[in-house]
Amino acid sequence: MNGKLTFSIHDTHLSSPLPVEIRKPNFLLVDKGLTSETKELEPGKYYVTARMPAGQELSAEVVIKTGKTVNVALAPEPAEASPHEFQAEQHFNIGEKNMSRRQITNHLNPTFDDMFFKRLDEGEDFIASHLESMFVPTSEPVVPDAALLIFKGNLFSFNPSKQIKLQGSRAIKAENSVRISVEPTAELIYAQLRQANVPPLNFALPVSHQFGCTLVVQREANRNLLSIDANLRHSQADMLLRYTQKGFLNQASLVSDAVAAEELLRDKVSDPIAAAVGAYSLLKFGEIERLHDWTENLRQFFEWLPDGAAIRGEHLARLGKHEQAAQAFLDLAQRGIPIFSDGLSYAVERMRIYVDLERKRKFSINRLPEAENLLQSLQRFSDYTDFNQPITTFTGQNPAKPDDVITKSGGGGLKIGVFF
Amino acid sequence: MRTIRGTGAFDSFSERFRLKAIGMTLKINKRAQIGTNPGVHVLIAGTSLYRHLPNGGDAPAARNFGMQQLASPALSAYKIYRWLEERQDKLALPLTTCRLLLSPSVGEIAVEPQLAGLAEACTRQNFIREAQSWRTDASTHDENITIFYFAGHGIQRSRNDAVLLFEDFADPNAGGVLTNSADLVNIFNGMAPPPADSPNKIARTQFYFIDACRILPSEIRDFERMSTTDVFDVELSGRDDRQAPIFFATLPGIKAYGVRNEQSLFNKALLECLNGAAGDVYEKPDGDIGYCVTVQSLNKALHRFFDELTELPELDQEFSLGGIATGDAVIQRLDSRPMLDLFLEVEPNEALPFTKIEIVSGDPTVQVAPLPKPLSPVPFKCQVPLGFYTINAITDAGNSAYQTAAGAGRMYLPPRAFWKRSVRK
Repeated sequence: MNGKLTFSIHDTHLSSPLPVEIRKPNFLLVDKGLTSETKELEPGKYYVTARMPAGQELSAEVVIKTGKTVNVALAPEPAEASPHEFQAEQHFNIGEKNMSRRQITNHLNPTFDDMFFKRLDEGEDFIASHLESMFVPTSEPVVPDAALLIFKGNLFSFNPSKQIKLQGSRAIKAENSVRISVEPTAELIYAQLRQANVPPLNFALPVSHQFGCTLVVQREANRNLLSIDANLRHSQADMLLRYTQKGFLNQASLVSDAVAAEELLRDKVSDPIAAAVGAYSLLKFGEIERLHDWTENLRQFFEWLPDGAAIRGEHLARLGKHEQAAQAFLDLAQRGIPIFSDGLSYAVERMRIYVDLERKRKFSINRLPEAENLLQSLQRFSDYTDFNQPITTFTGQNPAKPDDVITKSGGGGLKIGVFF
Repeated sequence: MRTIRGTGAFDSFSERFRLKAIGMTLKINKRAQIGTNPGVHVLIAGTSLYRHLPNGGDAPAARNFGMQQLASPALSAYKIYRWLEERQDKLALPLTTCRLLLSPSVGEIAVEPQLAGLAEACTRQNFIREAQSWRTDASTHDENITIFYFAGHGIQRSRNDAVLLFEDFADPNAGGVLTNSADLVNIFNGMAPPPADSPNKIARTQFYFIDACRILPSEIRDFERMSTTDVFDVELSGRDDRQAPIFFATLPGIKAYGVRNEQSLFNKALLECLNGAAGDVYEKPDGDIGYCVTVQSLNKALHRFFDELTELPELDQEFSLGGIATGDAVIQRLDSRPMLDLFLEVEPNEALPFTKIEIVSGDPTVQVAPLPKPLSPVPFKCQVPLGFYTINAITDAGNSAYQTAAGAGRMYLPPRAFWKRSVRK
């Protein structure tokens, strides 16, 4: 008669179940799943291991007895624990982040503005005063000359004057980071981080009509530079994104497998961003069967979401339905750049083939000029995109015209640098 | 063909270093033995010598985008070829064909004279010819496995794409500057399954290793989109149900590094992983335990390897996995349980004379030899098989300054692991 094994996670302060592997002492893998599950095992000794998205490893030894249920407690090593509870999500999900390497060109020592920042509008005043109330600069602050701006709109038809404010956002200052809560909106918005002597970094914010995200600006270890990232509001989708980004495909596969990708797609009405993450993971793992027809629904139900078009296009292409795939990708002309870099990559790679075949008359979508324009527009962005980042991140002062021109100073916007 | 002069004088710098490829490109051909059964078909290409880049010995490129000669790709490719020769019986299927193209540098030939004339040069023409033959072989059976390894200069295009540059890249007489190069996406899509109504077949398990930089020189961005040469006429594929991971030596936008006249870092890591550092355990049909390297175990191990490398601030290379990472195909079986180097330390150093370190394996079939007391040198290095261990630091009963620190069972994986325990009271 078998015994049962349950799991508990300590000291990570994360709400999502973790992927685990269960091995025998000889290292043979006997089972895997999520910590939310109960596993049935033959009596004996086992080792349970789990890996956090940021790389920390948790492990424990457990002995299963006949007919008994045993709980195994997994906790990080003391040296790998989060310094503070409120930093746990960042510590175990993102970890130390190196700024996009595309930005590191001729970095020089920063110049320092004074502590005054221009109060541009109510939204930024709110963030600024909120942060100021939490953080008093030390007598000798080492301040990255950095500013944060927010833009909205389809970058293919973009007006750079469309800078907006973050409405009613909340912000938290941690040791080496500032976390800004971004409210939901059903349109594309981008954060731009400007720092002295590096090209401005543009970052697509993964928000939808119902769920916002947490924008994280982090100071890089041992450097006078800031980096930018975001946590999705859907914690499990966020975890899936992090595992995939880090290359922990075993773990990503478990989260995608056991949870959630299908649920995410089913729940597309509530959280299309999380649904998109789930769909991208299924495409990465080649699990085309599990996409069903939901990718068409994602494309149709959210006309503002570029990733719906990119996901549907790639799905159809994998099925060998290339004419329909091309039509789906062509939606991007009206929708814009995908929020996730996988979508941009799929679009560029597929459209290059389709345009080439169309020119050689081996393919017929009857929209060659549109396809050529779209490909050209996509390539303009892909040339400056950091494909190491899962969320679309590219350089350029004008978000609609990517380049790698260095800015001399942080410039206008929320002076985010003063809070480090 | 290019010609080797004798040991007399040479007319020009370029002729001195021209090599005649007297060897075949199809280095292994076991089609007759394998028959209609599935097998492994390999194409390996390594380019260190770029004839039209500075010091290449041929007509200089009109634009070289800052690229220079390389000093490790051909040797790296050769090492992969030798590894396949040695391990061909341990692959998931019998090694049936192996094609090799090499453009070695003079320095590499000096280190490894066998490179001279071993294979034809990795020019555009040769590469296209061999790639097409490779695909023909791959198309004999749906259960075939293919391996593609390229080492040389590369340019990024997107997450899953790279432009692979051949020996005659930037030939001023070739037309566009990227004429003598190929898109990885073209190769990858050219190997996609045919439509369902086609009688053609193609290997459904394909491994790609791209050991090249993935930077996009800003000068190239400034020009109208340049065209590479198609290796395959890509037709519209059918349902793409391949297992086709692409192992990139580096992330998009980052350079790949190599040791001059030795091998690239990725190649070193890859071979170390294939030789055991990426080992995992499986159960054989007879219930015995075996060891193998799979796609996922290789992915995990390469990440561990490069995590260590990035501790060096001057080295920003990281590895990435692209393509279609379906399933967990076996790459090769190992002969024995992989070993790892375990480095042990005790804090503070003064406690060493009073501290005995004990390694207890979670696997009762593994016995770890007793360690010296005190550990010397420090960190102390020992070798253990991969697995689960509890490492205890047991202090002498009589001492008043230090206390025993019992360990907890942890997983230890190749190639190396570090353990440090404080015994302060």
